[in-house]
Amino acid sequence: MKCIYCGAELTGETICRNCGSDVSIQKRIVRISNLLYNRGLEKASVRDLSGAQTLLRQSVRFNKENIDARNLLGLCYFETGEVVSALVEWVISSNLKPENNLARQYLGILQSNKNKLDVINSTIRKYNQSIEYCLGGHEDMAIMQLKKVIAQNPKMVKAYQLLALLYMKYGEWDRAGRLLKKAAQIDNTNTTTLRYLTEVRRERGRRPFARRRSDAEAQDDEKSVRYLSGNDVVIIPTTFRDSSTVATIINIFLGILLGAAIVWFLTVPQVRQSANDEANKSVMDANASLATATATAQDLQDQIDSANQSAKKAEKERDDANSRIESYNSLLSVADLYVLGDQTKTVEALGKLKADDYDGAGKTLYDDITSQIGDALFNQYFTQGSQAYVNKDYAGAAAALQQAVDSDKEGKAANYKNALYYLGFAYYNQGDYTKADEVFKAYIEKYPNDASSVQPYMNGGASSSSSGTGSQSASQGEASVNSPNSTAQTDSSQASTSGSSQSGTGADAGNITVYGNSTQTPQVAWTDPVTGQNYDMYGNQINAQ
Amino acid sequence: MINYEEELKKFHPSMDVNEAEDAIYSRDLTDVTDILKEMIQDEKEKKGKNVR
Repeated sequence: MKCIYCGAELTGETICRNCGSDVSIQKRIVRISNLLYNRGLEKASVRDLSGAQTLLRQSVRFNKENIDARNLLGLCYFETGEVVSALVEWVISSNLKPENNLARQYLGILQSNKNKLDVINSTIRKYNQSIEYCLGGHEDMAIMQLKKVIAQNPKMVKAYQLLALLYMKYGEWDRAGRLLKKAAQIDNTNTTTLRYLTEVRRERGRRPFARRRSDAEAQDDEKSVRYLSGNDVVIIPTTFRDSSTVATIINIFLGILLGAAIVWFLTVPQVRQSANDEANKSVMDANASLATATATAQDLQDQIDSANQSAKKAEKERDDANSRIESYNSLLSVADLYVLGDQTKTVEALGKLKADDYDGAGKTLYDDITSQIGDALFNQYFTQGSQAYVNKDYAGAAAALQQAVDSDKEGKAANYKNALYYLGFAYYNQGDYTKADEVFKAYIEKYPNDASSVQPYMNGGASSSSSGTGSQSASQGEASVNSPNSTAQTDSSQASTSGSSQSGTGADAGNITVYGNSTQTPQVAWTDPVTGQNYDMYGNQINAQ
Repeated sequence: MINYEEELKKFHPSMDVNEAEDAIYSRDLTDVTDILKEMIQDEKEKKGKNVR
């Protein structure tokens, strides 16, 4: 609230703090406006809309900026069908207080529903036209228009009142009464409505039941024919009524028959059809439910199968991972042995590993160790095999030499040729000519210049037999072995055929050096980078000389 | 007793939506506070004339 003298904002005091003027009168005016608003609100809440409108109009007369009072006044107008008056109040309200004003919401609702506004405008025009019809004496046209108005805008109290007035003019008090009751439900203290209702009740009270009944009888009398027969009045009813007992019974019977026929031909088929429809619907519902349940079960089974497959896959992956972990653990053990310098065990352990188990850094580590230890592995097997061969353990020799040959696929080792050569003769001396021939063939392919040294022993020594060596052919292949204990050891068969070319070739191809007790000075194969200690190719420590 | 003709004269045409704008502009919004302001202004003017 602002001071009417200086325009400053007022506080709760009765004196303006800015100009010092007494503003008690201004505040009293505002209080009166608020009081009138409160009373108007009470009346509106009990649907005393006319009383509320009167009080609210007074309230805004005292204080035009009483926004609540103006908005409520508009709402009361709207409720009684005075839409344009309501719009006027809300527009003024929203102009006085542009923000945070309920009137803006009301206007927004009305403007958003353009069709509704058009309908309301149309009803107002029809109402105005009805008044013109009434003034022009065309009440019937007015009644038609007002009926349309009420149908389209059932809150328009003035339309109810005017239509009720027209009915009252024509003496249709019941209709007028019903309309006025509807009007009273909208605005229960409208003076015009109450006045008309009083008139309607008074008019109804003048027509007692007896009179109304006599009127009905009079109407019946109008339908009958009367004439005077002398001094008597003869009344002939327009319809003949047979009231005998038989006729009554027949009528009842016919009525029952008719009812039964109606039930049989109309109701029973409908009931049957309805029952069939319900049964069909139930069956269809059950089928649909069954199909849904089946589909759900199938889905669940699919999910179970998928889960089982996933579990198996996960188990396989877990086993693979465990296997890889074991392989890598083994590789790390080999690497540990290699780092510790125990090449013998390194070679043994490396022989148990598979190159395919590794990739990436593991593969690199495996290759590195293999390249470093490869020769040692070959030599270990070769030494074992050669020792076994010297000791005439041809089975052990074949096994060890086979491992030696297998450990050097590319045949790069210095003694690969000897290993292949003695492997063939190890099989030969065991009588396993098939394997011996395979080895000899491999030997010839790899060393074609020395083919003559093994060719006589192929096919079980058939070529030797044919050359006349006879029963000793089986032992002709035995090679001389230069061992530390017996550098020129030869077996009996070799001695017996010392002059043959095979013997010479075998000696030439099969010089085997077995380290251990050898008097030869072993070559340094590996030097420990930490201790500086030298080791031979078998991992044996070499004492510095 | 209600006289139809007399009652009919009490019914006036309602404003339609097109007339709302005119109604808003022609509305007299003077309230009691405005009247009070006017009275104070008149009083001041009278006092000013008396002083002269």
